Amino acid sequence: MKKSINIGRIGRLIKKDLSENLRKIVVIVSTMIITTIAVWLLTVILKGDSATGASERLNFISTLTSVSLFITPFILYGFINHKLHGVNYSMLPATVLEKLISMLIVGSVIVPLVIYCGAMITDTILALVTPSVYKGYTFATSENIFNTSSSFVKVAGTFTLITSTAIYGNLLFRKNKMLMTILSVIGINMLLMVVLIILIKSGLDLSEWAKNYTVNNGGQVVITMGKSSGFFVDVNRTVNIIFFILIPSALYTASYFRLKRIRF
Amino acid sequence: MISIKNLNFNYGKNKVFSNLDLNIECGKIYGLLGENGVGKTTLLKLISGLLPVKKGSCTVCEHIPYNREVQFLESICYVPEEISCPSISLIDYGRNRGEFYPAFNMDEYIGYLTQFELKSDMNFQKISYGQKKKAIIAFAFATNTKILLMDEPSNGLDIPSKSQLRKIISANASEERCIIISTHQVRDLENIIDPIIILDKDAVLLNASVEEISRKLSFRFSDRESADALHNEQSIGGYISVEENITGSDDNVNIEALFNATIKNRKRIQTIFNSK
Repeated sequence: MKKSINIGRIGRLIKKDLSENLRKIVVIVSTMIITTIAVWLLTVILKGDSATGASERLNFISTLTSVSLFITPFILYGFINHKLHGVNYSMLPATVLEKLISMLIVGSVIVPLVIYCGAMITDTILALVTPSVYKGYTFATSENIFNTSSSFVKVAGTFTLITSTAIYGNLLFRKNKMLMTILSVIGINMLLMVVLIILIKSGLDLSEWAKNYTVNNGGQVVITMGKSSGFFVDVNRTVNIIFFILIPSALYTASYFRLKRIRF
Repeated sequence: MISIKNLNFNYGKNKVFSNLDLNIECGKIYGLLGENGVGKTTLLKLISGLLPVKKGSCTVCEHIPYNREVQFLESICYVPEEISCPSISLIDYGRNRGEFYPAFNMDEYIGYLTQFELKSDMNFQKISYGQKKKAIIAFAFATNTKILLMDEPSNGLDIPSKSQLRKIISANASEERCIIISTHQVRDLENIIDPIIILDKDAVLLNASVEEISRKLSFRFSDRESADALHNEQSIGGYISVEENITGSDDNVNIEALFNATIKNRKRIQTIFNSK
């Protein structure tokens, strides 16, 4: 059986990608950290003495990480299907799976993790320096993704969806990749909404499903499972499976074949 | 080593090859010549697996190139005409990418860089086009792959570098290695390339060794055009006349004149070379 994965080669690919993209990585990480500092500066100017809580800041850092998850594959691997720049990478002796895995590790794990940690450290320093502006520490909040397994799964699922979309968009489009991917996602979402509206108008009763959703005092929609029976009890789980497992798996598979059949 | 049978390829409606047959053996430095647009670069891309064969077959060392298996990629190195380089030093480029080629030799790489008057700490992004090309060529030779494909390698090189390139190519020719050079600059690589492949739309017009060409064609210099010649090439102080060699003379092959003679007399040349 032909070996499609060699750990040593994946390591060499990661080393090569990090080394050749070091400047780009530094720029992405610096931009994200500067954004964190800029937001703090704006808070100081606009809010004055009223403090910003750790949970709000954590939400901001999570958004920042999500953005970096989306943009990093385009910035680091945008050349991959370019008729001129992609040739060298394609001719590199490694399997498609190894290349995809290394791309995933660098673009979707290492760089976003550095950004997340960098933003957390910056936030901690800013909270230490100005406790009246930044109250509490983001790493110590209960909403921290590493504190509870359920939120970790949810965050990991969202991150996987973002990453797989970015990687596939990067391989699917040759020009204006990021814009085309965003427009495609918006288009697909609109299409899904139209389908849902048609389903509702054609007599689909969502009232049972709606019982699962209540609005708490903070204005957030929370899911309270088990109040109703039948198909709609599992609908949330089904949606999670579709969006966090099935769609990312399909996108990764499509990316694999796209990379395998790329032409120059 | 490389076997192409009934190869068909097209870019949309633009047909490039139809039923192309070609055999390439190891231990030789092939010169791939042809007019613009006949498909020289396409042929190199098909051999290197960057494009899929539409119909027919192309096998390289028993591999189907487009499958891009690791063993195949380890045995081939392709130097495109236009090159793309990362923002790293030449030495780091060798370190990062050389690890993927089992026979890569770092000392050879540094040696070639020195021969091309390049410093290993130079950054790829901060050197000229010609210097980038030299660095990529240096790397390609240092990989010691069985097959080396080069598309217009002398383009952008200065005169001393062209001479260095000739030296490096000659030094790297071995029984185990096959080098294919696609070029328009035939004078840069004259006396190095052997055999010569002249590609035309739909067909290989000529695939012959220099010895065979010399046996079948004569290249005579005279002060006037020859009426019987396949082609008369104007040169300084006279003409080079390409004729069928019926006298058994042993002339030096003038590749430029050969190319023009072949293009002007497609069928005649094929008849001459197909006869025993």
